[in-house]
Amino acid sequence: MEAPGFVIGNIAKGKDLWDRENEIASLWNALEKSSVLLKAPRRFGKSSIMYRLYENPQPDCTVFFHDTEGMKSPEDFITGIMANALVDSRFKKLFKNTTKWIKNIFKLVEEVDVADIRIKIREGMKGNWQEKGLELISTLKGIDGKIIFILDELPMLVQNIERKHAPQTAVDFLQWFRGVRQMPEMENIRWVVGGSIGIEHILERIKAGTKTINDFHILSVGAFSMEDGTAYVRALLKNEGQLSRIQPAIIEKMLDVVGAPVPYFLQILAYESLNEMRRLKQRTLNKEIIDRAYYEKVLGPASRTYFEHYFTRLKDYYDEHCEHVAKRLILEVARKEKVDKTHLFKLFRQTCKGKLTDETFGHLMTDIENDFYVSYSVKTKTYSFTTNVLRDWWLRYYDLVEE
Amino acid sequence: MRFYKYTPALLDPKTLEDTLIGRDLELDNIKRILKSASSGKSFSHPIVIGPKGIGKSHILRIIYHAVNGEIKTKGLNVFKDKFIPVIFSEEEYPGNLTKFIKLIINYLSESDSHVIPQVPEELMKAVTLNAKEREIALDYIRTFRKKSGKILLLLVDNLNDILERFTSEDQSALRDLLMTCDSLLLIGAAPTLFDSIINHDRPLYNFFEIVWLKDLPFDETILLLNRYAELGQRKDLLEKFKKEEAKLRAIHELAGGNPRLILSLYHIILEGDITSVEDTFLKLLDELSPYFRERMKDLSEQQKEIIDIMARAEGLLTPTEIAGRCHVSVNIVLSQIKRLEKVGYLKIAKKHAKKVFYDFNERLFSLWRQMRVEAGRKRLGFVVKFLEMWFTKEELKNQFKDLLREIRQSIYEGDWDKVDGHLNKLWYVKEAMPEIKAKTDGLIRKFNKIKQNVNKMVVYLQSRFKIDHEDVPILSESLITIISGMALSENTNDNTLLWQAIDKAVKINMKAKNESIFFNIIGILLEMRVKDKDFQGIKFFLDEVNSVNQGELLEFLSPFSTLIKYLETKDPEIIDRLRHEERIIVEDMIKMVEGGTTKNIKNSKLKRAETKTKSGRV
Repeated sequence: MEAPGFVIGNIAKGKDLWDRENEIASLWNALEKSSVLLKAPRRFGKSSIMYRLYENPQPDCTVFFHDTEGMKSPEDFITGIMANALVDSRFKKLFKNTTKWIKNIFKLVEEVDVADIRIKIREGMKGNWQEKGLELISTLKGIDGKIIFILDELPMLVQNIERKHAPQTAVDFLQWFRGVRQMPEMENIRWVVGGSIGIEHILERIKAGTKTINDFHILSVGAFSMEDGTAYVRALLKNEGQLSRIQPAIIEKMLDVVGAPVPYFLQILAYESLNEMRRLKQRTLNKEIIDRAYYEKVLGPASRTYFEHYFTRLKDYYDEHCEHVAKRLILEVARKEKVDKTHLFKLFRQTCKGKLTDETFGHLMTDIENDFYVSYSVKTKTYSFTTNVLRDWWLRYYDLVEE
Repeated sequence: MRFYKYTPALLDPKTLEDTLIGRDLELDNIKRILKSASSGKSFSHPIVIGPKGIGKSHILRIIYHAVNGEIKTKGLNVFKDKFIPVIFSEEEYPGNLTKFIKLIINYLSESDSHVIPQVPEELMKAVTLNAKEREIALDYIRTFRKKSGKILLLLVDNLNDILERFTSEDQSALRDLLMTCDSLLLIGAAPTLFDSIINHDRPLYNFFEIVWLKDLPFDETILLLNRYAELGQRKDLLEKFKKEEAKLRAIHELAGGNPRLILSLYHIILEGDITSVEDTFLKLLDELSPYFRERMKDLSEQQKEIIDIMARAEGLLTPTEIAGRCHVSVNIVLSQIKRLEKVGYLKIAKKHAKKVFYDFNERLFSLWRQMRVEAGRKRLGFVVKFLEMWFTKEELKNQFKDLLREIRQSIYEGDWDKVDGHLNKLWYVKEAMPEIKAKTDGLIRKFNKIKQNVNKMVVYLQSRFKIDHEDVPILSESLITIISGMALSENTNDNTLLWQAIDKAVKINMKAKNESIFFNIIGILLEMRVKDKDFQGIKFFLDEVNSVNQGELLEFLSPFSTLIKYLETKDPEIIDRLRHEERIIVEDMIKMVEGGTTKNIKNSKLKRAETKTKSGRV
């Protein structure tokens, strides 16, 4: 495999996307049967994996990639995805037997650029986005082969619609979108929806119910295996650090520090370690440099933002009391590293002081687990932090806060 | 000197390159990104983050000129044919994405580069972009690389100010553009991490690669000072820097490794130019006020108190010392300090045994706070510290003497702005020399009093003689000159300046239409010299008037000549020979000299004025 480089924040394309073959294969497999909801916290590499489908589509598949976070209405959504499809030369024949307004748009394709098309689509949908949007998307049904629309950050779009318009508009959109996916004649169209913020929480808030998304096959993006993590760090250091010889102990140390080998954190640690090495005018890495890079840079005040949302979003999800209990339980897991489930339950009772039912404990822990704070080991019946970085961060910044 | 600027935009590429010290790591990271982008690989969009004065604009300018092929810093010129760099000027703050895009289009329209794809005519004409034009502009940017084979490199200083004005939708659209379009590479700069990039709910959360610009380490501070000396061809300073490592270390500590502060301290080394450095800094701190005030708003009262205590402190403090000064427990202070550290206000400066000393992360912030805390004292303690560290006692004493001389000269010239500037400088010098503090405070008070008195006298004389409008500038100048000179003489027993002043005033006054007013004023002033029994001075002055061929004035002042003659000879015949009117005047003055009172002087003055008017000499 070719050596990857640092790509911080942006999509890792080409060789920079390291070893996600399994996830990509699972995605293609799942797409054979249904649309897919790809879940992962921010910076776990979701967008890059989805982008790979766009970069390297399977034969007979046409893939469109859209970042929907900037869209704020159903009209934006329909315009965004259809404008790009319309200018694709392969689709031109589709528009010959359709309604007048779509034919007009199609005429534009011959004459002018995509900017005009977007405006025309928007004008054509005015006042009736459900019907007109469906009409427009339905033109794609006659295409040979599959069309895959990748929609990155769809939960953000739903949230934008809720905020800019009304919760009911967001519900209408979700129901309409489900209808589009369910149309038998649209079997050739698949959707890959990515989202880093908990879509379930948004659905609950706008009272849309999970049925609006229950046709999606859900896939999660997790960390690398230790083996892949090791190979990734080695390749990264070799390429970006120009290090000819890297001690296995150094790579072990990096993986040990980060815990679950999430590529983003491995990358950040490697980046900061190499910077530190150069700053100290050293020619190779050692454990002290890695520790320094980890504690002073990765976990340092300058990088506090990596995890701040893990702490602050609890406020959005729960009422004040529940938020307090959740934070206390998370803190306990951080402090103890591994916590027995029964111990945590006792602490739950003690902290909630009878204000929450015992059943809430189960829901709370499931939420916390689903949101990638902690992982549960069935074997040992213990909870531990999903990543060391998050645990160390929690202890550094919030150890004293929620007693 | 060419590097005497705080604004990198005003410097030529070569100077920017010459004064770039360190920053290898940061530019290597930028180079890596440029390389990835230009070779079609994935790339990050970086933001250079660092406090004010740390060199962010400098770095952006270096990248701009290097990618343009004008300089070869870090080999960035190899990207000359790969990018079209566009640098936003510091004052450009487009409030939304449409304006942002329009600004890019404007820059490109104005460019004379032949490789830029033709900007659509409707975009060039449009003052603002409508929805359609925005789409066209976005497509123009998206297809830029395809059409030109080059990447648009946007260099945007104060990116925080721009992004924070964008709506979430604008930020999302920008993210989409940056994420999916390979035609555009954005390199931003900001003084600190800001909400749009650190808030998980914002579209650009953790999107940028952060390139931290840190304070210069000691060795680089020395390199920078040496570089300035080399560029200014100051061999003497280069020699001095070699010998004075301890002092240089102190300067480094004082400036906190901030290149802008180092440059300003260098100015003082070079020219003793305290005033201009102070002016620049006060102006800078004023400009930064809104930014720092905004930052302070987020802090709790307790955190503000901690910051104020640290700003006021004479040196670094430990949490225990801070707790002692703000009368709360160490634990509370510790927890607040941790939070302040977390949000980037404070940092651990040093650990000594079990003690941990904290300092401000931004040196300019601490200076700003210090100024605000010490109410009414718009002066910079760090300049005093610098003077103490850098100059020997002997050098400071010489500066002190020079300053006194310059103050006197400026008072004589009636240039009160200059006087204020010198007095200000004198304040710094005396603060740096505690042994002359009391004496200098007295002198400063005296000079200020002179200034006040002179101003009062000028107003009085102007109103009394009802000077014609057109004569005001000339007479004012001559008045100020004389009165200043006189005031100085009063305090030094040295009349030289007074007579020089009168001489100058006489020359100035030759241009005035209504010379009678001037004559009268001279008369009053000479009477005051009579009161002070400064006969030598009067004699000298009359000789001066004679020498500049001011016969009419000399005639007008004849009672004074007679007085001097009489006092020298005590011959009563001199008085007897006078005509009646003149005799009265001279006798009055003799009475004044030989035990006269204020009343006598007043009467004498009045009589003299009346007499002269009657006699038709005026």
